[in-house]
This record gives sequence, C-alpha cells and structure tokens, in this order.
Amino acid sequence: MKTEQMAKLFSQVLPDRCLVSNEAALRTFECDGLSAFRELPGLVVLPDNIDHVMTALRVCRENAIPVVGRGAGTGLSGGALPHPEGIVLSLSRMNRLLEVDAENRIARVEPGMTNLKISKEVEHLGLYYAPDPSSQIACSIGGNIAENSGGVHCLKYGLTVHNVIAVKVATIEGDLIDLGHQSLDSPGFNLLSLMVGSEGMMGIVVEATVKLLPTPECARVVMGIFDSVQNAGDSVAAVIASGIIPAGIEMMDNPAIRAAEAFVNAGYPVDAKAILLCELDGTEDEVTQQIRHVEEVFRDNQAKDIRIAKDEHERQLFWSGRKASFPAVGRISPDYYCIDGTIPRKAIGEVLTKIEQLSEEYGLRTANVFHAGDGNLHPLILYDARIPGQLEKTIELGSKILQLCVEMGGTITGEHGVGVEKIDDMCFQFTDDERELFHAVRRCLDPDSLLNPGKAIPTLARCAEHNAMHVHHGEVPFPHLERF
Amino acid sequence: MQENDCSALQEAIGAARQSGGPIAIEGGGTRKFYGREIVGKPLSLSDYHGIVEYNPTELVVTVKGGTTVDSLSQILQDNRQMLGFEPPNCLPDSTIGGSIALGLSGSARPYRGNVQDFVLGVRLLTGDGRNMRFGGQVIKNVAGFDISRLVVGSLGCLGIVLEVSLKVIPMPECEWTLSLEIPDVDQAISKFNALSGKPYPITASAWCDGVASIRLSGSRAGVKSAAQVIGGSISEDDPFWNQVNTHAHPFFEGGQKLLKVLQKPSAPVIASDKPVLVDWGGALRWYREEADEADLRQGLSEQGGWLERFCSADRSQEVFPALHPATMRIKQRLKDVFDPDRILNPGRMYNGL
Repeated sequence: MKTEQMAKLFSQVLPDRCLVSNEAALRTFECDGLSAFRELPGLVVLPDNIDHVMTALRVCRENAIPVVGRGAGTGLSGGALPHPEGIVLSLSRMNRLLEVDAENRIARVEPGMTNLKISKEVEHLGLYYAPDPSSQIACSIGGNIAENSGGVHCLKYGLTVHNVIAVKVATIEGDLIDLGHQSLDSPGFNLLSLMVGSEGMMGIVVEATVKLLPTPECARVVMGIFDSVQNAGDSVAAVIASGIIPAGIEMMDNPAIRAAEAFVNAGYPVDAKAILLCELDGTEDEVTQQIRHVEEVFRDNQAKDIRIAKDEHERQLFWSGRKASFPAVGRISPDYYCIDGTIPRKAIGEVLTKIEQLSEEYGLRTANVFHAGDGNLHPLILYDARIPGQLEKTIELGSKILQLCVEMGGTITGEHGVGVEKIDDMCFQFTDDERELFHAVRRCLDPDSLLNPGKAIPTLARCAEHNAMHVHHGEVPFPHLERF
Repeated sequence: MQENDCSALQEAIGAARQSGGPIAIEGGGTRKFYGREIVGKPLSLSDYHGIVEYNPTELVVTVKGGTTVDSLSQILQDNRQMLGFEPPNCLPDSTIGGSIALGLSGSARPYRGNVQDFVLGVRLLTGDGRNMRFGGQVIKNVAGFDISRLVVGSLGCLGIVLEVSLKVIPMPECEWTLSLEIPDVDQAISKFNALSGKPYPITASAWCDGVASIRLSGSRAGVKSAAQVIGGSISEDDPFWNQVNTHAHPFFEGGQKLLKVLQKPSAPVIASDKPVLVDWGGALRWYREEADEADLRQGLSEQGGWLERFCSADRSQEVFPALHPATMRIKQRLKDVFDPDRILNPGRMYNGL
C-alpha cells in the first residue's frame, strides 16, 4: 500500500497529530542505531495512548499492513528498520511514569519512557532500575524489552528479562493481555519471558512493571593493567571463580585504550596490552574486603600494575574512557562496525588472538571493548564506507567472528539482538527444526506474521541460499534483503 | 535404557504418537502430587542422567534432565557453588528436569530470582519427537526466541527437558539467620518490605507463628554490619529454611490440603486468623485446610493475586488459577506447536493444555 492510501486509512480513525506521512519527516525513521541499513516507511504512527495502539493494530490487521514497533530507535541490529509497505509504530509519546510503589519496589511505566529516567524518578527513594545499556540516556524501556537489553552491570543484576516483572501487551489479534504479575510469579506457560527479547514480533508492549533495587551503599573501581590479553582474560575467570560477583568487569585492548585515552584523558596506560575495570558494590566493609581480594587475584595473574580509584571523581574518570570508547574509536576511523558475540569466559584469550589473526587476514583494524565478566565481546571493526567494497568486507569479517563465537560454545548476539543485521548468522547457530519452531511460536501470537516481518528469524529458504552463497565470498548484493 | 542416549525416549514418543495414548513424564516420580491428576503411560527419565559440562569458572553447569538435584547440589558444593533458586520440595530421587518442569523456587525467590532467571538453555524433546537446543551456555544470549525460559514451569506439557544449562552462584562466605519476635503477621511483612528496600544482603525473609526469620548471605563483613542494624537473635545454619524448603516444617505436617497464595509482597494477609506461613518477603502465603478457599478467593478478587491448590485430595478439577481467554488461546496454540498430538502430560497443568 502506498503512503497516501495508508495516510487516508489511518486518518479516518486516528488524530492527525499521530500520523507522519510527508517524506522529509518519514526520513527521521528510516533507520535505527544501525544506520548502514535504511528504508523509508510507508507511514509513521505516533500513538498517545493504548487505545491508539489498539486502533492502529486493528487497521493493520484488517488491511494486512506490516507493523514495525519502535522505541527510541537506538537499537544496534536494525530491529526497527522500517518496512516499505508498512507502518512504523513509534511509542515515543507514551513515555509517562504511571506509578511508583516504593514499598514493593516496583515502577509501572509506559513503553516510551527512557531507561535512565526510571532511575532518576526513583533516586530520592534510594532505589534504581538496574539494567544499564550504554544508550540508557536515550533508549526506551519498550525497546529494552523488545531486545532484552543488557549493560555493564548485568553480570550481577541481570538483563532486562530479570528485571521486568509484568507487561501489558496489545496483540495483533486485538486483545490486551497482561503477562507476569506483581506477585512475582504467575500461572500457566511463561509468556512473559517469551515476550522479552522477541524483537517486536509477538506483540506491542504498552505498559511495563519493572523491579527497582536498593542503591548500593558504596561502589568502587579497581583498574588492572596487563602486558598480555591472555592474562587479563584469565584474571576475569579467576575473580569469578574465587566467589566474587563484581557489579561489572570490563576489558579494553590496546587499540581501544589508546583511542579512549586520546579522547578523554582518563589516565589509561597507553602501552598496556589490556586493562580491566572491575567495579565492586555493597556495604563499605564488604567492598573494602572484596577490593583486597580482587587485587590479589590480579597480581596472581601477572598484572603489571593495579590502581584503585581513590574517590568518586577518580572512579568516574576511570569509567569515562570505557564509556566514551565507541565515539573515541569513531575519531580514529571514518566508520566502525560493532560486533556483539558472547563466549564462555575461559575462551576470551583464545578468541581475542583469533580476532587479531582474522583482522590481519582481512586487512581491517579492530579495537576490542567489552563486558568481560559476561564474556560479551564488542569488537569494533574499523573501516571506511567511502572505499567501495569495504562495508561488505567488514560485514563478512563480522560474520567470521560470530562463527568463531558459536564454535567456542557462545552465541551470535549477547545483547544487541538479531534484527536484520545478524539474520543470516542465525543459520549457523540454529538447525532447520529450531528455526521452524521459532516461526511456529511466533505465529501463536501473530498468525499472519504482520509484526516486524522479516526480522530476527531467517526462513529455511533464506538459510539454504545463504549457505550456498557463502561459497562466493563477498559477492552477495544487498545481504539484508529477504530472499525466498 | 542406555545412559547418554535419548533414543529410547524418542522411541517411546514415537509409540505414543502411533497409539495416541498419552505419556506421563516422570523424573524421580517424587512430585506427582503437583498439578492435575492425569492418565498416561509413565516415561521415566531417571536413567538419563549425568553432568554434561561443568566449568566452575564459568558459573554454568549443563546437566541431563534425569540427574538428581541432590547429586547436582553435591558436585556444586564441592566447588563452593550452588543453585540460586534453591529447588523446593525435593526428595533424594527428585530430578533437576522435574524441578525445571515444576518451575518452583525456594525462599530466595524475591532476592536472587526464580527458576527461569537461572536457566540459560535447554535441550528439548518435543511431542513430535524433535530434539532441539535453545538458548546456550553463556549468561548473555539474545539469539532466537526465549524458548528455554518458556519451558520452565510448563509441567512437561511442552516437551521433555533432556538437558538444561543453569547459571549457578558462589556459595556465600557467611550466612546468618536473624529471628525477631513479631506477633502480628502484617507488621512482619511491613518490616520485610522496609528492609528489602535497603542495600542489605538479605536472601530470604519468612514469618510463621509469631517469629520473623531473615536470612543474610554474603561476605562476613557485609552480613555482620547488616545484622547489627536489623537486630534479633543470630543463628548460623538455621534449619528453618531447609524445613520450609522441603515442607518438613511442622506447619506443613498432617493436612491433605495445602493452598499456595501469591500476592503483591505488601498486601495485607487474608484470613490472618487462620494458620499461615509467609515466605518470599510477603509475596507467598501458605494456608492449610483450616482456611476457607472461598474467603481467600474473595480477598484475592479485592486485592489481586493467585491461589493454587498445591496439594489437594481432588485433582480432577483445575488446581491452578483460571487464565484470561486470550492468553489461554495463545497457550493452546503453543501446545499444538510443541506437542501436536497432545501426548505429553496432557491436562497436567490445565484441562486443554
């Protein structure tokens, strides 16, 4: 259906302020955080409330119009890439805090509310919302639920799935259903967990109840400086094996350290092969005890030097380099491509060495910044999109790295989602039977596959073709297009 | 049946599909009391057991469904690790596959999380005999839909859990239980909620018979400083938690009927003149046959929450709370996807699933 037709259809049932149909305005929605993929949507619908959402879904159902849900558009896997003949259902206007229940430590929010705003709203109660994706200042809770977002602190405090206790979902079939409950557990098959991370393919979350945690009394950070990536990797496993679960444990390799240091002067040692930033939180006494322990473990694993942030200012300084590492890499390369594979912790050293080899083989530089405690790697491949063929080569190298992660017993995506970006990589992580089952499960909630079609789960035909095409390296034109 | 070989299980499923006769899946056969009564040919997983992979530094264990919870716990304990969800109602023969299928969590539920919070992946044998793996062995994994967590608590109605990968946690350096005399149950619950909002290392809080028990677990320094603030008498290795976990506590003795009520933690206790044991910091309330089910249901309709017949003499009726028609429809479709011939524990959870 063309934009004009769609606009006409929706304007009969929704106020004009909820509709975007002129091309210039539609451009705003043509991509999410993965800007290498772009598509102009047929129409954008900006609902003010649940009724608007239900109405929009009804029109889509009756006219077989695809629906792409969108939060803040900060996703990194193209999950919110528009469908040219569908609508983008942007939940950004539904961003209110509905209820804070301090006694039960929960907050009820609309899906468009930003992640960080939840914590800000409850700060005065000594509470916060734990998952902290790096985009938390902008990303929305609805998007977090669609992607099952993680962050620096999920080693200790879990992912979105561990911190959302209930959602209200508008289904494409016209129902409004509650999944999960404030009483912690609820009867029947566990649809709440199924909904979290379903990339907008099972329903539109119109309200979420999230868990709030007490703010730790104190948080301190230790920096371990290493001459070898292997020793740094081993230290991570050793800290965990010793019985401590740090609030976060992050690793940066030399190219990432140098880029970050040049950008923010965090005091990082530019000659180190790797650094670890290990944050510990809890009561004063507990943290003091654990810091001593982590220091010992780092020393046992040949740390060249260890620095403990002496105050809050220095703690923030230590983190500033890590937090700014993506833009820092952006300064040393015209473009970069972020990978999101996860591996068992014990394989960190080995995988980093292999990434280095692959990087040389492809003639593309990489910088590694990642959530070491979870084994969640974020290699950044540095490239220049202006050089013909370099983006394709980059995507191929990325796919090679992901295959390596799967071979090591890991996964192609730890927290960014599959979206359109990693859809072909799903072919080597799952069997035909498993992917078929995913499609069948999705149809239980979306019988006509109208919600975010073509994302996350490849068709059998696509995988067959992908595997065949894989022989001809780099010759695949438009790898993001659906191929039946 | 051969150990390490699920072909016998697949054959049993094949035979059941041919005959159309349902299968009653059994782990150790110790928790048949839970859910609805069903008719089916017993299919035991007790020979399908063993650790598939365990690397303590990963905090992850992959184990076959028929492995007993006891043997798994022992191996973890040897490495100073444990199951964070403290699987309840276990006898020596109870299996981990059974615990996943039941989806029940112990007293640490509000603080450490429930069963699905610790499940990273499953290998599943579906009702049409397909052997599939979902999730994985790493803590962060968002590839594909979350089938492994969907299966938790599905009472075998979606498939046989052949293997499960679980996140495990380090055993705390120190664990103390504080006992406080609080005669009024609602006051005890207010206290639990107030304390849960503070950054103390609380891992359980329960009330029974005028005594509130609060468990602190963590570093010695952290436990000690919290205990000083909270007060009460201190005991190490308090048997109370294990008694509640296994229902060996005197509260659970005798009666045929046990009702499980789940509510928002702060909700006032319904029928507080009847014997009640409160766990999960207030969210879980156990009632015995003295409590009138109709009174409880009336209270729940006003306050919100669920009631399930955890143990009851008549299990031919529904034992779990009624579902919204739209969610029931979705669940029936899921049943059709995983078990198209409806041979796996049909009706164990709900009539029609």
